[in-house]
Amino acid sequence: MGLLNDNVKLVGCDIFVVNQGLPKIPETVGGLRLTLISNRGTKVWPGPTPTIQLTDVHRCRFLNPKGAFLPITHAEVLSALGAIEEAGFEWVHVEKLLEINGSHGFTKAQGE
Amino acid sequence: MMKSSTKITLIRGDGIGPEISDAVMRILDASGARITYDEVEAGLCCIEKTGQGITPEGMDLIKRNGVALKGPTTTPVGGGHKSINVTIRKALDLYVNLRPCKSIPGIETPFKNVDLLIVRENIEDTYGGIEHMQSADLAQCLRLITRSGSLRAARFAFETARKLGRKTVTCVHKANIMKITDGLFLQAFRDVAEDYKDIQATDIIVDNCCMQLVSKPQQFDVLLLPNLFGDIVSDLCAGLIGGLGIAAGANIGAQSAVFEAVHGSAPDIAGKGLANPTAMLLSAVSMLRHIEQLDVADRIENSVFKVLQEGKLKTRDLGGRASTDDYTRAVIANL
Repeated sequence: MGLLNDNVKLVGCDIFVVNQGLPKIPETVGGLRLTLISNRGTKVWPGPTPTIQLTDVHRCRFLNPKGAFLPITHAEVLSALGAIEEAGFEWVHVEKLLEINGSHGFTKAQGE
Repeated sequence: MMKSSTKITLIRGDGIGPEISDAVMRILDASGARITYDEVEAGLCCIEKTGQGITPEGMDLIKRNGVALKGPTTTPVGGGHKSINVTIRKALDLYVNLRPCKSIPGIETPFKNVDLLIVRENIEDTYGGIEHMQSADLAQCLRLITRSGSLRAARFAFETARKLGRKTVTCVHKANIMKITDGLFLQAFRDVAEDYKDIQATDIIVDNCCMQLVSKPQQFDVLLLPNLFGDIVSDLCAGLIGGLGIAAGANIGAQSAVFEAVHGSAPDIAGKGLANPTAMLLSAVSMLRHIEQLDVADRIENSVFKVLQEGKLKTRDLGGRASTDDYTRAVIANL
C-alpha cells in the first residue's frame, strides 16, 4: 500500500540545501513555491535575517503556489529537486510534508 | 565618584511573574543597584494583545540594551505557539544556558557542599523543533549538532571555568550510542580543551552522570552538555540544592544576555502573594555580576543566604509560611 491515501496527503516538502550563507533559492522551482528558509530551525527568510550564527545547511520549505497546504504531487517534489540543482545548489536531504487525518504532520520554524 | 547606571530590559512575564518581579525590583532598588529599566511585555498578556509571545519591537529593545531580566512566561499548550523562552534564545542567538547549583545554607537537602556550574548548549540538538511525520505511524525529530555550535559552547565553558577559578570541565554525552552527533560534540570539547591545559577536561556518559549526581554530586565542578541532556540534567541539579524555586539561570550570547528564573509561571498560585522570588532574585544577582556591579550582587546574595539560613521567613515551597512580601521585607532588612 502506498503512503498516500484518503487520510494522508502530500502538501509540500522541506529540501535541505548546503550553502555558505543564506542561499538565493529561486522562489518557484518545479512548480512549487518557496515559502520559508530556516537555519537550525530558526526562520531566516522571508523577512529580516536574524543576527544568528548560521550553519551551512538551510531548510527550504516548498508549498503549492495555488494555496498553502493544498496537495502537491511526488513528481513536483522530484521536479523541484532537479530545478534546485539546475540553479546551482546542492541538496542533501528531503522531507515530505504530510497532512494526516486533517492535521499537519510537521512543525513550524521558529519565527514562522 | 558616582558610578553610571546600566539600562536593562525588564520582562515581568505572567502567572507569578509580575509579583516576583515586583519583589526583585524592590530589593534591587533597596540594595543600591545602579540600574534603570525599559519594560517589555511577553507571555500570555502579549499573545492576547498581539497574537505573538513577544513583539519584534520588544525583541529589538532586549537587543539594544544587551541585558534583560525576565520573569516566567507561559507557553499555551497547543495552538501552535512556540515557547517564548526558546523564541528569545534563538532570535538573540543566546547560545549557552548557564545554571549555577550551589548548596544554600538553611535549605535542607540530602546533599551538602554541592557547587556545580552547568553549561548547556542552548540552540541546537532537538530544540531546532524540526519534526516530521514520516507516515501515519512514524514521527521523527531531527537532532542537529554542529561543530561550530559545539566549539563555541565548549569554549564558553572553559573560559567561564578559568574566570571563576574552577578546576575541571566535564563533557556529558551519549557518544557511545549517538556516535555521529554526540561524537561531534565530544570531539569539539576535546579540541577546545587543548587550549586550556590549566583546566582538567573529562567526559562521562549521561546516564552514568545522572547516577553519580544523585550519589555524590560533590565530585563534579563544571558540566558541559548538549541542549536536551542539559535541559534535563540542570533540573536534576536544581533538585540537589532544593528545587527550582531557588535555581538561577542565564542565557548568554555574544551580544546579549537574558537572566531568568528557571521555574515556570505557576498560574495556580498567581496573585496570592505566595510565590518565592529567590530564583529570579539570584538570577538578578548573576546579572549584576555580568554588568560588573559585584558589590551589590554580593550584598543581595549574602542577605538572601542569611534570611534562608535563619529559616524564620521561608516561603511555602521551602516548607515555611512566609508570604512573598514577608520574605522580600526580610531580604531588604538584611541588606
